[in-house]
Amino acid sequence: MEKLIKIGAEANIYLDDWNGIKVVRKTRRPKPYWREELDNKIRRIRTIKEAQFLTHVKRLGVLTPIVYFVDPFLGEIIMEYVDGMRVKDLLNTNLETGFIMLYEAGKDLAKMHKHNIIHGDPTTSNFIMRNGKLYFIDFGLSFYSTRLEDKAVDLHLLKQVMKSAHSEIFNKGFKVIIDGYQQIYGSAKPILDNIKEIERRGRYAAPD
Amino acid sequence: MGRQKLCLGIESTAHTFSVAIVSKDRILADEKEVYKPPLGEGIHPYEAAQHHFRIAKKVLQSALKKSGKKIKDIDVIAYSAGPGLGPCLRVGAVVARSISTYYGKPLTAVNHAIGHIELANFFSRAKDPVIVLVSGGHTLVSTYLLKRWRIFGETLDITLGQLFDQLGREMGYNSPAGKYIETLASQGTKYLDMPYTVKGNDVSYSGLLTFAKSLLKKDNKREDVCFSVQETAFAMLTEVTERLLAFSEKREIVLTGGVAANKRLQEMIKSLSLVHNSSFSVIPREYSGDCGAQIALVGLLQYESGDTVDVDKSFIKQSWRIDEVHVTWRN
Repeated sequence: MEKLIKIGAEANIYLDDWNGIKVVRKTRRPKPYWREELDNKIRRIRTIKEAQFLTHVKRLGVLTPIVYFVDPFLGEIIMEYVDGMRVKDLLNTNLETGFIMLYEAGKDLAKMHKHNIIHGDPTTSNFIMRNGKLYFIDFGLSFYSTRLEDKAVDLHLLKQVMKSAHSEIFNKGFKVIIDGYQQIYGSAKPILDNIKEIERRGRYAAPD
Repeated sequence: MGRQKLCLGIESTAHTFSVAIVSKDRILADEKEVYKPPLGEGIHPYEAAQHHFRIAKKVLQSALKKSGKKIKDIDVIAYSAGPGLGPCLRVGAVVARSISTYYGKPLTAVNHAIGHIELANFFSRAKDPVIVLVSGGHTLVSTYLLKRWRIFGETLDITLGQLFDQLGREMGYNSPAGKYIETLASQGTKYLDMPYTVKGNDVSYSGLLTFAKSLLKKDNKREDVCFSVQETAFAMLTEVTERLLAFSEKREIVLTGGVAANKRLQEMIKSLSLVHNSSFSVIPREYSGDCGAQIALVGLLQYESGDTVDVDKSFIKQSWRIDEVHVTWRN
């Protein structure tokens, strides 16, 4: 009953049956346009990392799909199917709930950062709401870091996504995220200052 | 039916001084002169500006001659107002203001990078594409939303063009060195392990450059180093392109800017477009580098949507991101 439900940036997402459970099978596609050495290395590393972080962050109270099985050489993870709505779509249909989820996303990101975990790809299509609860997915770019700058880059990425994909509600949306973040992290001022610094470094950014 | 409006556009952001004359559906002339720094060196802004002043009149005359038009036939004068090197930008702006004042023609200020984007769209006829802009000044992926070209991902430090120029300079080539790197890379056979840096939707090339320079100093073949740099740098770019494609759920990819002329990059992006069931188009080689046509085309679009600037308020901006430009000609 395997069914392709999404062709993602680097992986195909299938709905599948695994020992009688409805699961998601995430397969990192070989990239025919990459050198094989590079492709194999990156697919293997990211698959392992993703499985590790999916599990690790649960201990911090961040909801993620349960990992059932990992095959690093095939670049494949079999995990729980979180049957919900992407916050990316939620923000277009139910703004009020969308903001609540952004607040939760800010909190979850802070929980990870407090424990020096950088998500690496915090976009609104990687936040899923199921039964009113927020799930984080896609930890393929995650890593450990104590550096302030890495935490700031994580938030900067989310800010960029809000600005480019949800520009109409950007101001309020990003504020809500920061509010949630600060509830857990405490004052995020050094991180917010660092985001400004990153933006100043951006190409052709006019100096303040 | 009135006759078609004509725009004369002047490009003058860096190496290239170019004048083009375009109508809505045709490029009547696109003439240019390119400043060449001495071997093994990069662009010197003041020298480039001197060069542009010397050849400005000649390029302008040859564009008019080629188009078969007189200045009086032109409806609007466009100039590249930024981003770019101050001394070079001033040359284009001065020439544009002079023509505008003397002949009483309206003036419009164009963002150079938007020029790369819209000129590629002009050729590809893409409706709502994912843009991959790669040049000496830019390396970014963008889509259009609500009056702006939005930057989804970009380089956090140097551009692809700069990566190639600086690597080329290390080997004694002058800028732009992309074509030398491409030729060497095509003769490389051994893939050397390189730092791969993608942060979310952004790429970083400075670590790759430092690493590649160090490999050149050891006994590695130039061909293999260039080959590995190209493979790794393009892999990073294709990754963020794929990310935008997946995120935006768009079905067209347009590749533009000077580095778009690279055959290996074209091949990689074309191949990923097939995986995502998307169309792929690349700007024609003769218009991939900086040219007057990119300025003239956007100038015409701006003029027709009422976006002009008074001479005394006309400006140059060395720093000017594409997402700061309010797009008046798209819905």
